[in-house]
Amino acid sequence: MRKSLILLLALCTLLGAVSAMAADYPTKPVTIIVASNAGGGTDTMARLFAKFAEKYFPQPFVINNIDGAGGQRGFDALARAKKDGYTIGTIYTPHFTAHISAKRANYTIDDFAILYNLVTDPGVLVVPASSPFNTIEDIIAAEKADPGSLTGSTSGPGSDDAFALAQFNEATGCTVKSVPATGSSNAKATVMGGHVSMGFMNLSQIESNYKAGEIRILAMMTTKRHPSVPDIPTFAELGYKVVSDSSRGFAAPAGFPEDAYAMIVDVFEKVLADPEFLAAAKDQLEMNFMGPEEYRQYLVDLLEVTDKAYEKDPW
Amino acid sequence: MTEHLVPAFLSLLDPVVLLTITTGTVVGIIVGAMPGLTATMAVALLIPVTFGMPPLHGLSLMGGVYCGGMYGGAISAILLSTPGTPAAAATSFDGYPMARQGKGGTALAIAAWASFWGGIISTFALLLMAPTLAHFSLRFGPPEYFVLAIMGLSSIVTLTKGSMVKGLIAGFLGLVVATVGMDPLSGYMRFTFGQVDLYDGVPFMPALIGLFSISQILDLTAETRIAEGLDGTSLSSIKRSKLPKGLGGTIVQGGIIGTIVGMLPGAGATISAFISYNFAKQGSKDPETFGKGNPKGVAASESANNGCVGGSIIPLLTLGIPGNSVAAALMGGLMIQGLIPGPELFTRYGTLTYGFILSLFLANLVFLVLGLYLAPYFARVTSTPNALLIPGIVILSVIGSYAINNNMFDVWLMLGFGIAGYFLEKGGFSTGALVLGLILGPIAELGFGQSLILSQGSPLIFFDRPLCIALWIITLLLMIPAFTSGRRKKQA
Repeated sequence: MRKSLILLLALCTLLGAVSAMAADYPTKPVTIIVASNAGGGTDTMARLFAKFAEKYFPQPFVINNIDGAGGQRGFDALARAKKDGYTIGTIYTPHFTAHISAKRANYTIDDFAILYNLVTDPGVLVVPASSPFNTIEDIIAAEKADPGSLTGSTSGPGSDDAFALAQFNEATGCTVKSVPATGSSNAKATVMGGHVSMGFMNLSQIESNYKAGEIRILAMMTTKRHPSVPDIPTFAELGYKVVSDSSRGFAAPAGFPEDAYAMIVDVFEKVLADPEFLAAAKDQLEMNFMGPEEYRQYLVDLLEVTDKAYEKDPW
Repeated sequence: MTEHLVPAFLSLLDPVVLLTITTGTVVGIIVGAMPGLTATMAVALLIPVTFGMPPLHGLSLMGGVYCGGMYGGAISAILLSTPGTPAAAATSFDGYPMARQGKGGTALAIAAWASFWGGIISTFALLLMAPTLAHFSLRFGPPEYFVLAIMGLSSIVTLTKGSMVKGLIAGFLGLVVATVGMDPLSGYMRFTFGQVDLYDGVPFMPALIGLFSISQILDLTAETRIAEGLDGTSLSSIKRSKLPKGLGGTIVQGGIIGTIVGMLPGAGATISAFISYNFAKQGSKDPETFGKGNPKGVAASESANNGCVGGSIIPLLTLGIPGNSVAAALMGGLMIQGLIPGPELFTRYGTLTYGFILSLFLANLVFLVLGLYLAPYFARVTSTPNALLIPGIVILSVIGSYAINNNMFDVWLMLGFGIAGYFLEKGGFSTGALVLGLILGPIAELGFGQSLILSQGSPLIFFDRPLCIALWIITLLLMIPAFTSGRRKKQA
C-alpha cells in the first residue's frame, strides 16, 4: 500500500513536469495520442516510431492511448488537442472516414494537419485449407447451386472487411452474408475452424498462416500484385472490382504551428529512412509510406467511398 | 522437441535470463495488484524496449510480467475486495471474507499455491500438447461460444446466497447494462445517448471497481478495521506451509478449465475463473460455505486464471491466434524479434521457443516464493485503521478507473456503479451475478447472432454439434445440486 502510494507520487511529479509551460520549441515531450489500446498494431507502430524518433528530436515522444469507439475517441481528442505543437496522434482507415460518413464524428478531415502514412494492410479473401473453394469461380458456382448459403467473417459493421464484403457481393453477384466478429483473433479462429465459408481479412493478420499452409488466399484486394505474396492474383486481374485496405498513419491537429510541423515532418523523413527502424518494422508492419500530400488525397478519396457505402447500407 | 529441450534449458541458466524472469515477474505482480494497470499495458510498453535485447531475454521478461500479473490481481482482490485485474473478480468472493476473518495471510498463500499449480499445469499443456490443443480450440465456433456463455451465466444460480429470484434479477440487470453500446451485428447504437464514451459499451473495469471496491468501502465505513486481529499464522509458518489440504482436486480442475478456456479467443481468464468457481462449488459437499470464506473458492478462481496463461499462449505460438489481450501484446513482442507464429517456431527456432516456455515455469516459481514470503506482510494491510485505508482505496479506485482509458467519464461511472452496488448488496442482490451478466452478455449475444446467421435462422445449430451437446450436458449437471438442495430444504 505504502509502496503504491510512493509510486503514485512519483507519477504525479512526472506528469507535473510534462505540463510545464513551453518557451522555445521543443521544450517538452511531444504526446502521441494513439487511438487504439496498448499492444495493437497501431500502438506498436506509434511506439516503434517514438523509440526511433528520439534519435532525431531533442525531446522524447510520449504515448497516450485513448482508445474506444473504433478509434473515434482518439480522433476526436486529437482534433480538439491544443494546437501548441506538442500533440500529434495516429489515425487509421477506414474507421477515420467511416465515422465521418456515419455522421458520428465530431471532426472532419480539415480538422487535421495530415502527416505520414506508415502502414497499408491490403484486404484479402481467404478460405481455410480444408475448404472446397480454390478460386473465386468456385465460390460463385456454390452461390448459384444454393443461393444465400455462403457466409463470410468480417470484423464488424463499418470496418474495411465489411466494405470489402459489400464490394465482393456487388462485383460477383453473390449474396455472402457477413458474420461479424469482435477483433481479428476471433475472426481468424472462425475462418480457420471452418465455421464460415470464407474470411474477409487483412494480409498481416494471416500471412504466417498462409505460409504455413493453414489457409488459402484466393485473391488480393489491391490494384497491383503484392510483393509479399506475388503468386496471388488481384481481384482486378480476375475481372472483379474489389479494392480494400486498412491503413495507419499520423496526423496533427489543424492549426499546428508551422515551424513545429516542419520539424516533425523532418523527424518522420529521417525515421522512415533509418535502416534500424525499417528492420524493426518489416516483420510486423506492412510498410507503405505516403507523404502528407498523398496521404491527405488518399483520405479524401476514401471518404467518398465510405460515404457511398453508408448511403447504401448504413451501419 | 527433445533435441531442443536441453539447449533451451541451458540457455535459461544464463544469470541475465534469470534476472529478466525475476524482474518481469515482480513488475507483473505490482502491475497486477494495482487496479487500472494491466499486464496488457505492461507488455505493450515493453515491446519497443525488448527490441534491442536478445530474443530470449525479451520474451522471458514479457512472460514473467504475464504470469506475475495474473497472480498479482489476487492480492488486492483478497485484501481490499478490489480486483487488480478483472480475472481476479471471482477470487474476492471468498478471499475477501477470509481477509475479514483475519485469514488474509492464509488466503494469499492459497492464492499463490493455486496460481502456481494452475500455471504449471497449463505450461505443461503448452509444452507437450500445443499443436493438438490448438486445433481442438478451433472447433469452438459461434454456437459453442454461445453455449459456453450460457454455462457461465448458469453460475448465477451458484453465486446467489439467499433468494434465487434476487440473484436472477441481478444477473438480468447485468445483461441489460451489457446491451449498452454498438450492436455487434448491425452497428446500431443502443442506449448511448450520443455519449462517445458509451459507444463500446459500459467500460468493464471501472464498473467492476465500483461494484466490488467502492460498495465495500461504503460498508467498511461503519467499522474500524477490515479484520479485527489476524490469525496466528506467523511469518515462518506460512513460508513453510505446504499446499493446504483438500485443495488439490480443486486446483487441478481449475488449471485444466483455465487451460481450455484460455485457448479460446473471445472467452478469457475472467470467465474461466467464474466457471472454475462454479465447478468447485457445485462439486463440493458444503456449497453453502462458498462466498463466506471457503479456501476452495480462492483456489478454484486463482488456479483457473493462471491456467489461462499457458492456455492463451497455445494458439498464439502455433496458429498466431492470441487467446486474449495480453497474449496479443505478447505476439507484438514475438514479431518484433522476427519470430512469426507457426510451426517454424517449434523447429527452426525451437531452442528459443522452448526456452521461452521453460521460462514460464520459472516465472511461476518466482511468484510462488515471493507470494508465500510476502503474504504475512501484505496481510497486515487488513489491520490498518479504516480511517487510513478507506481514503487509500478510494484514491486507488479513482486513479485505476481513470488510467484504464485516460478518461474522467470512467471515474464518474465507477462511482455510480459503486453507489448502486452498495444498495444492491444491502437489498440482497448479488453484485457478482451482475458482473457475470455484464461480462457474458456480449459474448452470448455475439455467439447467438453469429450462429443464427450461419444456420440461416435455425436454432437447431445450438443442439446438433457434438461440442455444444457436451457443453449443455455439463451446464445441466452443474445446475442439479442447486435445485436438489433447495428442494431438500423445503421438505425439511
